[in-house]
Amino acid sequence: MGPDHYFILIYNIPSRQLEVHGFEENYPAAVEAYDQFEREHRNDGSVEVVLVGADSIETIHKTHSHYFAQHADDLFRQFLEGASSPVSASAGRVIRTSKPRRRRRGS
Amino acid sequence: MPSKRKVNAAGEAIRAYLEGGELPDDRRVVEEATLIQAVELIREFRSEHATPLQRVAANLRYYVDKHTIGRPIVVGQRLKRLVTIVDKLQREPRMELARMHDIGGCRAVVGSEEEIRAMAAHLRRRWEIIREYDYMENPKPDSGYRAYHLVILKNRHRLEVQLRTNAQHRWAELIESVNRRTPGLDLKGGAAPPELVEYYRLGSALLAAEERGEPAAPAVVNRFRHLHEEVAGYHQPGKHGT
Repeated sequence: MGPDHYFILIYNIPSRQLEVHGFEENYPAAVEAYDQFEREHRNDGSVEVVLVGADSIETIHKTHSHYFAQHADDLFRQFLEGASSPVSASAGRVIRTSKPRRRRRGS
Repeated sequence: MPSKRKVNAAGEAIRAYLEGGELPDDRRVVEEATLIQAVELIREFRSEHATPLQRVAANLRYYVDKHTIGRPIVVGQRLKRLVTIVDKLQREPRMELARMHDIGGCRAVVGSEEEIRAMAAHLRRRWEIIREYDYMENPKPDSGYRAYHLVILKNRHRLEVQLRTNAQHRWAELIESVNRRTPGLDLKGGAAPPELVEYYRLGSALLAAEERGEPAAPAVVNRFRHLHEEVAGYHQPGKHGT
């Protein structure tokens, strides 16, 4: 098992679009960029910026799945089967994942 | 590295600033410059959690690997968003910022409650654990949240470790999603229409029973189905009743 990889997720709530910035194993660079992105979006309540880490972005899809998938999902379906009302599935959404960028500190 | 006293003072400055929210600039108790300094100090304090968090997450991954043979290891970490640090300062007015224990957090999603308990027992012997929250035995009363949380001390920093089963995790992620797409709704804090809170609380209980292989009580299932119809409107875009 190698060290964790770090990603900054920038999630636009109204448009449900997600930008992913990858930093590979460079945690200090990711922490620095986290501060910068947060400052950039400080007056914008419709954007969430978060710094996460895991062995891969695929794992982040699981540990922080609410940034990646629509969730009014079928979690409770088994308890509703046979009930009088049909179980409605919600529409999916467009996910845009930017090309991971690598950032390095100056020195 | 900012001292505990400075960290706490920064937390207090933020609180004082937020309390004076409606005051014109010249009557504010906390000046803009002080506020900016406080925010930067909090960022610095947050950054200090990075290295201990990195170690704890790597450690957790190693232990999860030992306890979950043949399944993918699901371990992730995050540094708390500044906005949620500030929200928490406001929500818990007596908490000292230096004692906030979830600025650095990591989580593991594992197979069952037994696995979680086995892992907690294992970690207890290896980590300096200062607090444990058993939300499997005692789900959060406001929301029905289930998981097992450990607060540990690593390099003099408090960190939160969340252990969740797959169903507990999917439920928690669902709540995050519902909260975010419904402005004004806070299912985690219980600030939501009572029928919606009850719906998700029962959903959490039903999932827990199912995961344990226990039969669901018919009365609970019926109540849940009834609530499912009642809350349908909240789940449609543009029909948020709050």
